[in-house]
Amino acid sequence: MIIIIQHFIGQSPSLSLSFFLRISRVSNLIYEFQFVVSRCLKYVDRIVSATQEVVIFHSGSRLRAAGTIQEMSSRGFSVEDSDEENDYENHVTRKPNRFRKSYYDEDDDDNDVNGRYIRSNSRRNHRDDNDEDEPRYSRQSSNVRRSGENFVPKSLDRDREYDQNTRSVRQPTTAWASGRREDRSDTDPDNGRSWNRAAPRGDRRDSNPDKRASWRAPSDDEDDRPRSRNGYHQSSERPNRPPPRGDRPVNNYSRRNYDEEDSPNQYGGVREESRSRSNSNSHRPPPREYSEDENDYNRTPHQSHQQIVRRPQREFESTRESTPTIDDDLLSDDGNGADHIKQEHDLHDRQVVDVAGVMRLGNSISFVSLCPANGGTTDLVQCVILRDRMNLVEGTLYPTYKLYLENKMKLLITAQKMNLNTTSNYHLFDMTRGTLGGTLSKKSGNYLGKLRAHDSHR
Amino acid sequence: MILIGECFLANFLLLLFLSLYRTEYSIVTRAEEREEVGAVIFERVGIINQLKEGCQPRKMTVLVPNLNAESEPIPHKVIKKFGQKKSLVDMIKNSETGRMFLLKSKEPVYENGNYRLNFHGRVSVPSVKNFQLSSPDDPAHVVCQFGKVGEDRFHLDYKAPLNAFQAFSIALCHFDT
Repeated sequence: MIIIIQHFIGQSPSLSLSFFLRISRVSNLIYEFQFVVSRCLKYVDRIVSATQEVVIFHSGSRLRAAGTIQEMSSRGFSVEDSDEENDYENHVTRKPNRFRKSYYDEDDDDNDVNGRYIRSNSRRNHRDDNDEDEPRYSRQSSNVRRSGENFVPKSLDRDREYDQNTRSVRQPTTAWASGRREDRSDTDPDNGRSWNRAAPRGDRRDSNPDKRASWRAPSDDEDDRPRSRNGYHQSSERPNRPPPRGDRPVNNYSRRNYDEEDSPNQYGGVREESRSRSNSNSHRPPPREYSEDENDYNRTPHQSHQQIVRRPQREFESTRESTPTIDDDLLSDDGNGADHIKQEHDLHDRQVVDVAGVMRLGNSISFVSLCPANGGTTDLVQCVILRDRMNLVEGTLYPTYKLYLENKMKLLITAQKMNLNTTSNYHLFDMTRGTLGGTLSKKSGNYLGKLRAHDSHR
Repeated sequence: MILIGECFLANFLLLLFLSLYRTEYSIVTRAEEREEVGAVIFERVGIINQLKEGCQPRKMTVLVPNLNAESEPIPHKVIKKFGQKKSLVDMIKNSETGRMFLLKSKEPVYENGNYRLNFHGRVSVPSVKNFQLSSPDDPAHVVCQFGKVGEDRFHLDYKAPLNAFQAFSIALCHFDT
């Protein structure tokens, strides 16, 4: 594999990728290459195989060098000293936070891998038992972090400042003084550790695999990946020692492999612990590892997201249940009538159904001023005019006319002839809206308009 | 087929009297500026012609403005142009209807001393007020019809270019005259 990669030094990585993919179709043996290359896509800088670690340095879009760590160090390629460091760091800054963070956290540790495990487990239990000791650790960690700032390259330091700015807690000491329980993800370095992050991963895989597929790169702890067929999982084949100190900033993937694969018992133990805790204390908030994620900066907790989504629905349902709409309130009779009429097949009734539909639509515009729907295609809207001459004295001279829809006898318009006028003058009132006190005046909202006669002779 | 009108002397004199004065109507909306939604003009019959030929059915011309997208008539604003107000009635008189809907009453068929119109069973009483509106281009396409059923009961059917307000006010014109 190294030979192949070295063959493509000086070429663009996409070219070498296409070559790898072509090879991988040939046989399953070289399927490993595809896996490596897919990693190459995501994290071009560093490739880890089961037996050897391969580093690819690239400047711009060209592959520059490739080989195992020993080879590269012997050649003079080391991350801290060589010129490739700049390229590497520039690439690192563009990566997701996960990469950056674990990279950063490894600066704090001077211990062995197993020793770190033991220490972190003990620390974790201690923290869970009594919360009072918690600030001490966080203060320690902050001290460690401050001391560790010297080792971090400039670009990483800049990123960290950015992270602190994006997060709300910028001064962790105030949080300790007030004694509030805050999101300890900022002050606690343990949450950022790779082993700590690895713990809930199995659960998460079961819970929502889609999300995992979205945010995760092809990582080491996949069960169904093709490497497991070749038996590269066995820890006997792998070097059971941490890489040298000088390579640590580059050594991210190898370290992750150690954490997750070389010590399966401890890993499983941690996972079981977290499960039992969550089962025993159901009222407690979920373990911090769940919320503490690589993409946690932009990600909200799942429950809160659901609440945000559901809230408007509930409001809508409650409003629907409590208060009926204006349509139902105003025109309930016509709505029922329309449903009833639809069953019949009378021609005239169907026309009236259309009218009712228009009435339901036209709440903003009064139905009276609307033409029937569908223009000239509908048949005639049938109405009845009743002349009211109840008042014997004035009724004969100035009667009121009322326009009804014939089907339901719904009052639409009332017309009154204004008296004491030389030319006739009719005031028309919209009766589909309610009238206050039954009095119709020109200034009430029911006033539609008037019909005025002209005297052409005068 | 239904009888339209049978002339009596009193009716004749009344109609003659009214026709002198009330022949033009305009439908005005409630807006502050004068906006018209329709205009009705009755054809004035001279006295001599009436004495000669007797009572004839009314001839009515209706002008209705265009509809907007919500099938609501666009009101016609009466504005002074060159020192002259131009209402819908004036537009009918000058025959400057433009793209508005010009409707005319359908002329009845004279049979056996009676004027007849087909109301398709909606009208049962012969009256002077009965009418059918249609465009002069297509007289068979009836847009609005109005007729007497009982003593104080009338049937009014209308269709698309007209809405309830306009159709009712057109019918009111017939009550008035």
